[in-house]
Amino acid sequence: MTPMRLTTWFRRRMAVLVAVSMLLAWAALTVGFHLQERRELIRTCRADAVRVALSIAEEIQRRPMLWRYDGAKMSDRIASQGVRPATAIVVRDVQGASVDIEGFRPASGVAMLWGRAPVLVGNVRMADVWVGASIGAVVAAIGDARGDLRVWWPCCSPRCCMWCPSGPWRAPSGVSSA
Amino acid sequence: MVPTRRSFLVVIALLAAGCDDGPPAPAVAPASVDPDPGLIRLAGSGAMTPLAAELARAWAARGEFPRVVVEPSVGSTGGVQAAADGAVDLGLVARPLRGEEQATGLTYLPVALDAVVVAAHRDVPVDDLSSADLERLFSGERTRFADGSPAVLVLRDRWDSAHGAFERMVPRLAPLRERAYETRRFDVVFHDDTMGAVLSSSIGAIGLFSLGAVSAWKLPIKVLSVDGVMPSVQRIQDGTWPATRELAFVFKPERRGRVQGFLDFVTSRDTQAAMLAWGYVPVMEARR
Repeated sequence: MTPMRLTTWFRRRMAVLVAVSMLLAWAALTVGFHLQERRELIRTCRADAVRVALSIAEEIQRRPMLWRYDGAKMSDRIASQGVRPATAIVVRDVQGASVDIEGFRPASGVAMLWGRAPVLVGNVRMADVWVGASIGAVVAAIGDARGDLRVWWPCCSPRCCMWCPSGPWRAPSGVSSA
Repeated sequence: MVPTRRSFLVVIALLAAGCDDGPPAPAVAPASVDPDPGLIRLAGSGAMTPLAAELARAWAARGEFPRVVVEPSVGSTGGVQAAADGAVDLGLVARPLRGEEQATGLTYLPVALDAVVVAAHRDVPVDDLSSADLERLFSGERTRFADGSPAVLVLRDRWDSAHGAFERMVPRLAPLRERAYETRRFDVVFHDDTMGAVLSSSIGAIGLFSLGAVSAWKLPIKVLSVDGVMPSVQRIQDGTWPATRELAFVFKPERRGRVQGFLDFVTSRDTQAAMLAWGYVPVMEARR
């Protein structure tokens, strides 16, 4: 069988095509993953906002006049419900005045994603809760995923394993890597 | 044309997938609260709520006006904020004002001393615990009493003044308690009324509680002695029970006129004597 020989011209065209395809695939994966992580984070924030809103609704029923002054204890109660510690929580009563939830104040200058839920007592909206998470979490997740990709991708080809974060690929004894 | 529109819709769908609910609206200042001329409203620390309720009852029994209403507890911090905002006439606190709270210009009026005690469900098979026993309970090393029945420690939240007061008497409990919060080993209760209910109804429950609340609310709770010392108003007065906290009113100076009659009643000789019967030591008595 005659081995296939690629012309230099064709090899160059193919190299460009492969490089562009890989770049596009990388960009599509990154954007897709970013959107997925973002959506997941927003969904978690909304779920946390609903949980916090339920907790505040209970508090309002117990202390209809002065619930807004029980923020210090509310923060401990929210923390005990497993709301992530890095989360920011903002509560506004129906007039728009802030209710301070100590320990969950948003950090200034940090880009956040927000999930919102109304605080309902007997179907009457008494306040709104925003739960925020830093966008840094999405970026970190993408960084982690890229790390995973580096492990998975180059190992398809033994020659590229110098990039592998788990160290250069070593052929099992008796198997040539060349 | 059709593929272009489809691509456009795909892009919009992708963007919509990443949209959050938007940042919170900017806050507005809380609406100012006008005092109700027919009411003196009190709220704050749960440690002081039973005493305030007794005072309100005695005030009403004399047929005095305006009526005194004690709201459910919102903690000392909440009491200070509510008094500063004018949402209540008298804030109830169970600790001295902190630095930033002093800047609010509120007047601080000490009323009484309350003993923080080790209280338990009435059926627990012990009457006395040593400091070492308490350390073992807080560390989770000990989960049963000598007869094998369960010992269920119930903690108050970090903000509660009871822990600080009791840890002046048994300082080694402070790091153990901090660790217990981190490991979530024990149930945490956020208000005095809930703590009273838990200690009254849960078999084997044990925790720190207010001596005044036990007697004012007439709860079926056992107060335990610690290292052979049984807490009482006499022990507070002679200093042999150092786990105490000062209960005080805080109020805006401009509300003094509204509350002066009630404050005169609180500091009167008859009321001070009644406080001793309710399980509290009036501050004037304590300073004598």
